[in-house]
Amino acid sequence: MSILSFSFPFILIVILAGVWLVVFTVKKYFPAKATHWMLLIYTSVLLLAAVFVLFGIKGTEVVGNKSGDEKGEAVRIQGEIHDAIEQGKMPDIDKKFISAEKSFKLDASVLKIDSDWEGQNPYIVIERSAEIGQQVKVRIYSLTVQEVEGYALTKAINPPNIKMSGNLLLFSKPSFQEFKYAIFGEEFPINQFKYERRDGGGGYSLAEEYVIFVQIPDDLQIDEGDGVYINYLN
Amino acid sequence: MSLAEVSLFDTVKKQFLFKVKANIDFYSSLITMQVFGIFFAFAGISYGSTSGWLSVTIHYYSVDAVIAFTVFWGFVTGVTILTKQYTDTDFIFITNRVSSTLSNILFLAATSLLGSVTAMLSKYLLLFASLYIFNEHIVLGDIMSAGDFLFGTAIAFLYVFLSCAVGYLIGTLVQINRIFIILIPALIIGSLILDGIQGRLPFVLKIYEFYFYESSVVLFILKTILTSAFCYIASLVILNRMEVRK
Repeated sequence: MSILSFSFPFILIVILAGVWLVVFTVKKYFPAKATHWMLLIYTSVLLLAAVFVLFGIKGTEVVGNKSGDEKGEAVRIQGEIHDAIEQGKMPDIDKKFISAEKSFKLDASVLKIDSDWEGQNPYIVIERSAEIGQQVKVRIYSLTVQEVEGYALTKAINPPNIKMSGNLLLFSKPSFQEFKYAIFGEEFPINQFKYERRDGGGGYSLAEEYVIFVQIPDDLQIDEGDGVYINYLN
Repeated sequence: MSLAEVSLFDTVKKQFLFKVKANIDFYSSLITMQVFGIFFAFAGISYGSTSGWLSVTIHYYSVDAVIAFTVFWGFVTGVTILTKQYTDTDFIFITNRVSSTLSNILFLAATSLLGSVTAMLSKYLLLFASLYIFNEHIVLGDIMSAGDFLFGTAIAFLYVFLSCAVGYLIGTLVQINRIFIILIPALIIGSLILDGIQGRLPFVLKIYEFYFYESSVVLFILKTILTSAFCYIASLVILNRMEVRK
């Protein structure tokens, strides 16, 4: 609970008390007619909503950035990742593109790798390493861009799930997520005089792309499942 | 013959204050119109998409409907303030057409201001509901700054006040002759049909563009104030030619 959520009832009480105080102070100007009370209540509700929103909005997880930069970055990093793959320098890629990272102990001599992403096999890059002992290290790079009216809201998306069960390393789609977005257009009295009108940027779009980097011990055998596409670095 | 001299300023002030307190029907109609507008704004437009693991709903909100309803309310108020029900109250005071018209203009300005402020404030009600009742994420960044609020209120006020002025002029014409109740809509509809037949941009649309497409604030202010002034002066001139209590 944010400080504002906690303090809101008190703010509400203070404002209402203030309104009532004004009413009783200038009572002679407020004949007890239903319309006057209706007007008073209506304006109070609007003012309370304004106060609550103006103070509360900062505490909420709002707002995306214009997606142009993020899109551009995703395209650039796509190239970087492919270069890094060819040069075996995948771990050098900027950490902000890592959406999930896990490591597992493995005593088996064969590792089965699969996914349940129907119709969209994840791209997996495997690097053998003598330095990691009996471990399997997994890192998922996300190039996903979620865009709402030209605003990038990618960080809200959960990464894919990584699960090790026995000697099966399974990648599954992110858990179900529900997003409810609100777009508030500028009112025409404000918008009318602006050269750059905020008409939005074209609804909703989602471009999903993940690259999974797996480091395995030198001597481990890989059993490829049907749901993955694997590229070996060495 | 009275020995007491009453200044125009005092009469207008008294009439204005009286009207603010007495003409309460205008407030209830304002609230009703704006609540309708808010409902329209809540209904808004929404878009939904669901894939295997992702459900997205986007709700578009705008208080333009509330402002538009307020502008319409201003027009109706401008017309009805000249009906017998409201003009009779002027005669509680020593009055003439000038003081009556001036107090009406002040009353319409005051209610226009009230209507504009509440219309702009209604955005916060939508934001409140969106954030805390519907638990939506607000996508667009700046939530109407204080500057935008004041600016928007001022412009909305000019629209509502202009609409009141047009309504007032029409109300005045109707006072001369009730035939204008039929004549004015007939002229508007007739011009629409005629422009349609001749393939021209409808005259009504040209008027709309004249105000709503004006991108210069100064020109917009000039246009609205001059038009409002013209409507009120024309009304005053017309009303002055009539008997005081007709």
